[in-house]
Amino acid sequence: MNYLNCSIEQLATQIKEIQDKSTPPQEVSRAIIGRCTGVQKEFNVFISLGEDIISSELERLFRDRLPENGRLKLAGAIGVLGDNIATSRYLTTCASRMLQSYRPPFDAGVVARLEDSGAVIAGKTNMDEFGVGCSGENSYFNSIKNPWNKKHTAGSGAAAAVLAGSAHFALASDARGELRQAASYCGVIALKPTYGRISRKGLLDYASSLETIGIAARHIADLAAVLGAVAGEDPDDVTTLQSAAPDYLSLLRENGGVRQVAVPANWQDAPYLEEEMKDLFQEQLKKLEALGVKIHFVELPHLQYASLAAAIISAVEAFSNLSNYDGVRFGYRGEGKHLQDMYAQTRSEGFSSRLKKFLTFGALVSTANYYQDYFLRAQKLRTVIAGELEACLQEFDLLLTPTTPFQAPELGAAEGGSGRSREELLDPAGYYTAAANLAGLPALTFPLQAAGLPYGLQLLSKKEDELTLLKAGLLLEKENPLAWPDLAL
Amino acid sequence: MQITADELKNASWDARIRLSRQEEEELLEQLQGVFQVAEKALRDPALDMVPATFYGIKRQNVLRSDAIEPSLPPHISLANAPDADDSSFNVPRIIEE
Repeated sequence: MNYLNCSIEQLATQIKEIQDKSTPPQEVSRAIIGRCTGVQKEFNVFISLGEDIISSELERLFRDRLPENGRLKLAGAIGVLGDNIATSRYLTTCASRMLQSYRPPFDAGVVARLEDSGAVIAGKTNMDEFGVGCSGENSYFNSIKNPWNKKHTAGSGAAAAVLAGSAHFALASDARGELRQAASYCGVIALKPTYGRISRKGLLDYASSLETIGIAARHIADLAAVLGAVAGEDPDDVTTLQSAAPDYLSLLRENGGVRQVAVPANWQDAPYLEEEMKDLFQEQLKKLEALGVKIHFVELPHLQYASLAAAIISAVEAFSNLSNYDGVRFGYRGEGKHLQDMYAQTRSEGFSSRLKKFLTFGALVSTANYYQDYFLRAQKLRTVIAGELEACLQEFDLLLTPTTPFQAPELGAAEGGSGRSREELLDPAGYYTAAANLAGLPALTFPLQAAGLPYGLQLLSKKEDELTLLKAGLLLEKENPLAWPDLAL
Repeated sequence: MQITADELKNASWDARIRLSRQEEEELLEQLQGVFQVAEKALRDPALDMVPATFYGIKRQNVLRSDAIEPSLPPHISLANAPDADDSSFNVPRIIEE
């Protein structure tokens, strides 16, 4: 059965074949569960896997909902969600001991939209605790292995689940570029939409002003279909955009596309930028030029400070956002002689060492001595970076950069005292990705295949212009055949 | 800027977090790295007159209508509590001995 390997567009044909052959839905469920279980065993991508939910939802879909197939944008598509997106039918742990047994009393805004569109949510994926970072190693539920090479991190379970063919798509959070970085490590496509394009209701975020729910998929058309299903205003999230989201899938192949592309003149200044990434990036620029796209090297002098500004801002926001994990109303509780002692014991035992250091950094920068000189000035720097990007994108259709300076790091490298691990607060992997979060801009990563692990090409466009990103992605998809690991599961 | 151990201890207590000695040392080293980069990026006098951006998207009138909606029933509100009785969350004594 080719159910999980085909694109969402091809699912209608698959479903028709299943119906024509009168294949019982249970057989489809078994194939999906078998694949997900095999992927979990090998790569540890899931925190929860909903075997019963997959079976019952597919049965219901085939029995009751397929007659309305034409109206279901994602009929039968299998999706997975990062474990910081609230689901009442699954635990929502944020990959933390703090929430290891937490079941939310409500669903995130995206859940109802996915289910209304005919998608089946197969499980919740592993991630760095509370979505802070993309090491794939800071989860209470152990490290996430890269399906291309198990010695390397996948960054997040969402990207790895899509790569390994256990889902057609994944939704996961992106505050400083975590989803795009993981997609680059795994070699799948991912989109961080404009801030407010997708409802954030039910996202247990750590950096409210930066973080959005993004989408990972193996095909551009799948990404367009999922975005079309989940985008739009949500009365329960006052930060959603009021403008209507277009029907991305139907507009994807219409004429009109990318003619003028900008590249930061200093794009090679990133610390730890690997030679192979440089070569692949330059090769893509040549390919685009051969297609008639004009490349312009532009001065964006403050882009190099985006990950610094995002680190300071996100740490302060995390210090505030995560203050409600105190052991009173939900989650883990430590023993304490009195209330303050219980708070401290709960948070010291419930959070990982890495998260505790990050929250302390946020607390420090929130104090009177540091607020004016660091937090406030980081927000001013954010204004400058957003201004540079917006001016650039007024003139050009897209801005291109690598997604990450390097390939997926080896697992365990963070413990080895490497230069990169000593800079974990600054997040060297976010050198190129953080700017889109600071400015609220949409950004897409497209996989670049290399001899070993893949790299990623990042594209940024104007606010609310996800369509240009998708059209450019389609162009890249035609020029760069996609590849998937041959997994014997 | 040189961060002192006392500043770090106070900050971690603000976050109600206890760090081990090793965690404090690691964090101090990492913070020195952050502030070193920040000195260059954030000390630019041109930033003085720039307004701060607190959200990437500008929004106005984002308040919901002031309509009463059903609240969560107590048994659902209390379902995830580490310690609760029929109608309340239970916590240790508030006043230190």
